[in-house]
Amino acid sequence: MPTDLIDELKSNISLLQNQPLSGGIVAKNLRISDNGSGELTLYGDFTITLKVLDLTTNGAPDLNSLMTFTQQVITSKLRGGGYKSGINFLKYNAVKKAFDKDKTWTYSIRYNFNFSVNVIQINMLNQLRGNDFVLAVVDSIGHQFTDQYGKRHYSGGLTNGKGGPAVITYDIWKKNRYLGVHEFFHTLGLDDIEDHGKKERLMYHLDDNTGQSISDTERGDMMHFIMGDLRRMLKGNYSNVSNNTIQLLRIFINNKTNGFKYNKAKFR
Amino acid sequence: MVLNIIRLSFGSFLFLFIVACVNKPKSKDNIVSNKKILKDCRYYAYDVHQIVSNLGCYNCHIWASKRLNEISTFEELAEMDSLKLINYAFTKKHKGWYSKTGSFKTARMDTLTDCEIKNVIRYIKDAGRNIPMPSH
Repeated sequence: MPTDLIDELKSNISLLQNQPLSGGIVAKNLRISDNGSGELTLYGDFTITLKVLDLTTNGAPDLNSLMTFTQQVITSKLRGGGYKSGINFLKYNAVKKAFDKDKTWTYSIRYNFNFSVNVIQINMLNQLRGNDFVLAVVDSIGHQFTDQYGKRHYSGGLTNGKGGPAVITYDIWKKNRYLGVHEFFHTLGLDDIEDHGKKERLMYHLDDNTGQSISDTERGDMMHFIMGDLRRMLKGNYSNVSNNTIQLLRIFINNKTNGFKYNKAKFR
Repeated sequence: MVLNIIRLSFGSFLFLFIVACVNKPKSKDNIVSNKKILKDCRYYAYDVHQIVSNLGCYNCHIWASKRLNEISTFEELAEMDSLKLINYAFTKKHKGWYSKTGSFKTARMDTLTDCEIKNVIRYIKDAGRNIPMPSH
């Protein structure tokens, strides 16, 4: 039986038993409001959970402080919802509360989501579920990248694609406290900025940031990633599907080209 | 009889000569120019993400492995052959919604430059490669 189907069944059973859903994204009270003039407002209460796994050799005494900071910044960046125009999709029928498969429409979407963000520490891999988000903290990262100007940089953090696990160097995180948020926003679908004219942006990833702002487009893109699919708004509740996080993390952290140095005894 | 054959041969030769002149090959300048554009075509993931985001690909081709519908996920698109993807995404599919006269014409899918199309294809393909995103 496919993992997705198992997750769907578990999710439905949890709902029927009135148990809390779990995973990186848990959404409740989802609904759509149509103003009849091409604008849909989406409502929902989301709980986002990021689990932090300390794999450092000598421990990470500032980890709690960094996690609290990261939780506060993620909460503040996601606050206020988002707005995106020019969304091409199927036409919404507010009476039937369904999308019409045969008609299309271009909408403006207002994301009116409430977010509760948890950043919690875990000590064992068995505390990770398949649909969790994870940030592993390591001693160092050997991986280097070349920016669009041809300059080489060491990586302070690496994220394994959208939705995937992230790995961060403890010492660099201490120097750049926003690095954990930056990596997590990769997980939520944002790309790096290298344009020297945008140094004030959080997703600027070279070494001379002047700020940590998020654009409306970026916020809208993250909201869309978190929601996943407009049709999901009709379901009322959901938790994100399994990305097989444990296996992805295992492959990612053991990939020699990434050059992670960490305490292997802690990776259990 | 011989005269007729000579006339027919001459007529055929004249016809082929005219066709050859009318259907002259594309100017070398144009070919060189297109090659130059693609050679100078710079891939910058952030900008290409904006194109993909504005086209609204994610609205239907969702991230994550779970489908809510019969439409391919973004990861499934990434598994397609690049050439097939160009035909599939930019011309044959989408029921004409993204054509110059379609209901989504403002998304300008049909007016992307060769460089933009090349980059969008790479962006889609990269989605299936789990390329790590580095931060300094």
